[in-house]
Amino acid sequence: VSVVVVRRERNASLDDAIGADDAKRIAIYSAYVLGARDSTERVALEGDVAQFELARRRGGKPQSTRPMLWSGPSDILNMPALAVGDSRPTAPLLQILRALWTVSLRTDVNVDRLGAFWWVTEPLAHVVLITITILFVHGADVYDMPSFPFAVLGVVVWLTFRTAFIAALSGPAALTLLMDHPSVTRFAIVLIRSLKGLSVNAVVATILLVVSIYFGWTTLPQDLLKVQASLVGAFLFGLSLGLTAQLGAQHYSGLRKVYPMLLRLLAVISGLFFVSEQVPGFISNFVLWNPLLHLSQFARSGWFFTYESQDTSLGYVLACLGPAACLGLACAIADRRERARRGEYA
Amino acid sequence: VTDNTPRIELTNLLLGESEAPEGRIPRGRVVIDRVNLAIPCDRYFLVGEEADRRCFIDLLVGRRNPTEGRLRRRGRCSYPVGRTGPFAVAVTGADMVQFLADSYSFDAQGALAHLRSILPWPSVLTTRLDRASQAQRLSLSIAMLEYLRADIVVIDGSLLNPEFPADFLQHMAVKLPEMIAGRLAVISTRQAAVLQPLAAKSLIISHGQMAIADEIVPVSTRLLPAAGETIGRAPDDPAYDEVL
Repeated sequence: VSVVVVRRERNASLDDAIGADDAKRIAIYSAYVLGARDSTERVALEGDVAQFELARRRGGKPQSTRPMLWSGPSDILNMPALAVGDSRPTAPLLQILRALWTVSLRTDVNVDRLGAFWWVTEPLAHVVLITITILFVHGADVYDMPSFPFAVLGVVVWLTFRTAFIAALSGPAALTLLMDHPSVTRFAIVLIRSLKGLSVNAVVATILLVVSIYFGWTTLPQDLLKVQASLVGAFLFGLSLGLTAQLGAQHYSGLRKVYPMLLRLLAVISGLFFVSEQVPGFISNFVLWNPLLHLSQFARSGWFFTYESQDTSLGYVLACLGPAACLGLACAIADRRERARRGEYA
Repeated sequence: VTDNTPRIELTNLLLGESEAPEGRIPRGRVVIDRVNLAIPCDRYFLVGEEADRRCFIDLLVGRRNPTEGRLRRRGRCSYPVGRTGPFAVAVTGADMVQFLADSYSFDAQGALAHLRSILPWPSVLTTRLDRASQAQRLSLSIAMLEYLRADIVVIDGSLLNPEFPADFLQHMAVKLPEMIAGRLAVISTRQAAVLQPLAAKSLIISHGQMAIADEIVPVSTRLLPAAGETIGRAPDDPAYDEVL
């Protein structure tokens, strides 16, 4: 590789500024920059002045010359075109999700002092609050299920839904700048933020349920797969509805004020405090329209030997989830198109 | 040159014409007006209005989507080297290197060891990037280009920061030609005197149209103002009368 490093010769006048007082130095700088023949050269001369002044302020010997990088193309530039390394224009989604995962976790940890502490604290606080409420309302058992693990399962399903919903609603947030990287899309960032909620809640649930088993409050699960499937279902519902809600908020920003209240209402009827079998028929007929209640009852059926939900329907959950997922993806595409029209981030 | 070389294809591409008054592009302004263009592998100096060039780079790196039509990249594209925004995330420089290593498939540990020896401020690797100076982020952005397995290299910004020490500038002088050689390079910068010699052709955006010129068009920073637009520079600027 031959690279020619030449030095600018025409800026000898900056030497006059060495040792000059402030006023004289500024005058020399101005005269130097105004000597440019065009605006391109002016940028270069301004760079000379900046370099010179910086060296002077640092107390070193000001250099009136600075290296120029290229005097012309070097031989290497004339090499023939390389074949494309990978036929795909962007990295595979899984590879990008893995890359984003670490950055997303680190960002959360770094962005404020609560950081990772809050991931664990928030679900814990919810569990404690709901357990206390359940203890007041139901006593030690709820429909033959011990109160603490009952609360843990209900809260984790609900929080998984809520975290995914809010992540999709709020978009890339602190990771928006990463969208300058060609392989990173808004959807990938939203997906990873939602997945983070799923995994954090699953970890917290595991810890709390292991503690419950240790103290003899519950036993090992009857059907762990059913519990995991319920969490994934809640995650998919949250993501789908969050994407839909995000597009709605694009059209009418006032909806952002309504969503928190809707979430609270939904929380009340999502089985945090009860199962449908223990409430009067006219209420269960109403609350069973909510697929999240089905999911939380699936999770409890999967964990407790003493409870097998009679009201839940896998078919109903899938019938709701399919259209919700299609609608969410359609809204994500529509949102991308609208952003293109508005000239915003993709 | 085989057929399997990097390439950019614009198909009936419309960019601009924002519907929202608060959009980044003013309402009614068209940056690229239904252009069909194939950009074969070469080194291009992007010529045009600064806003137009920026929009095109946004489009190229996928930061924004076309209003209509399609931009197709054949080959993996780099991030816009020279922009410090993509590096202003609340993670350390080392975390960012890891992120790029995962995205572009290179060895992060090897890169980190090498970066410590060439970066003018190695402390940026342990500093949160959103708290690092612009020069520190810029140095990392440039140095990382060495590791990217990118077929399309995009340079957008002023690579020559006056705070860079001479040895880092000389390192760049050696490495930048290597990084873009044999690849499709699109260079957009106001520091034309510094980077223009790397290019072989010009990619011109003007009045909604795009064209490729086989020579480097003499560039002033605002070469081709759109009709009815002011130049946007001070009247005492020598370029002002020259361009008008």
